[in-house]
Amino acid sequence: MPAYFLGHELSTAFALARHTFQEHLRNRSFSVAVLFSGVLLYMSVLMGVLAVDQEVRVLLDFGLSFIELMAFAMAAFGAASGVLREMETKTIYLILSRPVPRAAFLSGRCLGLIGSTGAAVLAMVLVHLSLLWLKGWPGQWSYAAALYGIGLKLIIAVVVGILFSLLSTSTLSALTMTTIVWTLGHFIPEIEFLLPRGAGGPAAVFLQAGAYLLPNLQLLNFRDRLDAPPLAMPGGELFWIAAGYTLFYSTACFGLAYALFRKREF
Amino acid sequence: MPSFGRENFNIPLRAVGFAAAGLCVISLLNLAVFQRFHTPFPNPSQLRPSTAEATQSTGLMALGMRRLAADLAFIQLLMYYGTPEADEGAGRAESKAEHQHEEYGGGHYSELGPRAQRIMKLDPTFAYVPLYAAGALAFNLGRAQEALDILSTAARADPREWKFRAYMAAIGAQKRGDAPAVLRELGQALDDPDCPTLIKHIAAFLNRSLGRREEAIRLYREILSSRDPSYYETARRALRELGAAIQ
Repeated sequence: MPAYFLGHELSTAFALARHTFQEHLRNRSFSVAVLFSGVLLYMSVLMGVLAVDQEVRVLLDFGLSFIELMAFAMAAFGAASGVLREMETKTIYLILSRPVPRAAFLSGRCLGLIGSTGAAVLAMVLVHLSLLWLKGWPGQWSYAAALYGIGLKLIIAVVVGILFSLLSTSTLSALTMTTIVWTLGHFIPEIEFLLPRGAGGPAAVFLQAGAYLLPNLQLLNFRDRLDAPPLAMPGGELFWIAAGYTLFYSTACFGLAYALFRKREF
Repeated sequence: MPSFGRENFNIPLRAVGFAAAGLCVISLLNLAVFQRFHTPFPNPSQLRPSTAEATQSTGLMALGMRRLAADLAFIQLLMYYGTPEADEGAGRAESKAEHQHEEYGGGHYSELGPRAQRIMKLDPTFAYVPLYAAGALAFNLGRAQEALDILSTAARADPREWKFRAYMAAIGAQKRGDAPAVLRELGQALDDPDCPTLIKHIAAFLNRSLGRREEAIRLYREILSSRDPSYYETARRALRELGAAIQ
């Protein structure tokens, strides 16, 4: 019997994920964002020209950074607006009045968003790789590592965005909080450095809490370590640590989101 | 402004326990990561960006874009070194007198070294920057010691990079006025795909002055196929003067 219920929850979650995926891809703002990214990636060629001998490096860095930023914007907006919009338009009643478990609803939303953001990343990566190929980039395996890190960061962004959308009542506030977490998450090593050095009183408490609760996005930032020694070791333990970290962090955030969502009255 | 729904805070005790458990998992996870993972980059106290660069670098670092911050700072360094100085005064005159060959360039560019050091702090794996800056400082501007300081810093950050040692040896030879030794030390580095065009230009010039026509022609042709167009005209002129075909 539990296996039947688990199977039912999974199939419901996947059906909802497929729906979210299609809904996101059909969204006009999403298509415009992907198109805009393509144009901007192409325009990065101008920046590369300024770097003369280092044109390929600049194209590589600019492209990967831009892909990540655009994908984050799409993921955060989708996560922050999705559930709230369904609540505002009352479509959530249509779903939850059927035998759809709330966990399946939330996980379907998460998976659909991760899938659609992944599709957008893939489209941008194809444009980026074509540009690099045209510029004579010889290819390096750490590009795949950078994409892997971007993917892990986006998973965390989606789950954190959904958690904040359930904590707040407007898309803007959920989006703002997700962006703040994203920014501070990249500053964790700096916060860690500042903690034992003079930060005292309320500032220390704030920093300490931040360091322990925020996602450590620098751990997943392989894009910034394309030539750094740990990435010179394929299959290094850092990749497993990053995957485990993302899995546990997103599960914990998902658990928090579920606790909030379960107690909501519709 | 973030706003919270009042109904969201009306959560039963079990959900609070659930939330506390979730936060504990997150804290333990972060604690475990703190103990195992350390960023390969210099700590923030070592980053001393100039006022103009501070906003740009900090903003990009906040988005986890350290490499891009280094790239932008590098483009600014190239623009700085590629722009004639407003106050050329004594520095340029001194440099010209010292080298007596205008083809190398000249000027003072007092910010070149500090800018390169700042970029190296942003991204210690950006090997091209110390090579470019050290080459310009030692061979163009006559500031060998500053160039050696940059290369020592770079070699400490990445001891695997043999090109730093080769450049240091070449600068040592330059200080002794031993041009053949400079070329010998730079030999392998010149064939590296990441060799700055500026260094190839210097090597081509030295080969030409030492009467090594074939090697000079080879290097000038390589310059013509490089991505840096600022040396194309000089290379074309040199090839014409050497009686070689421009391919």
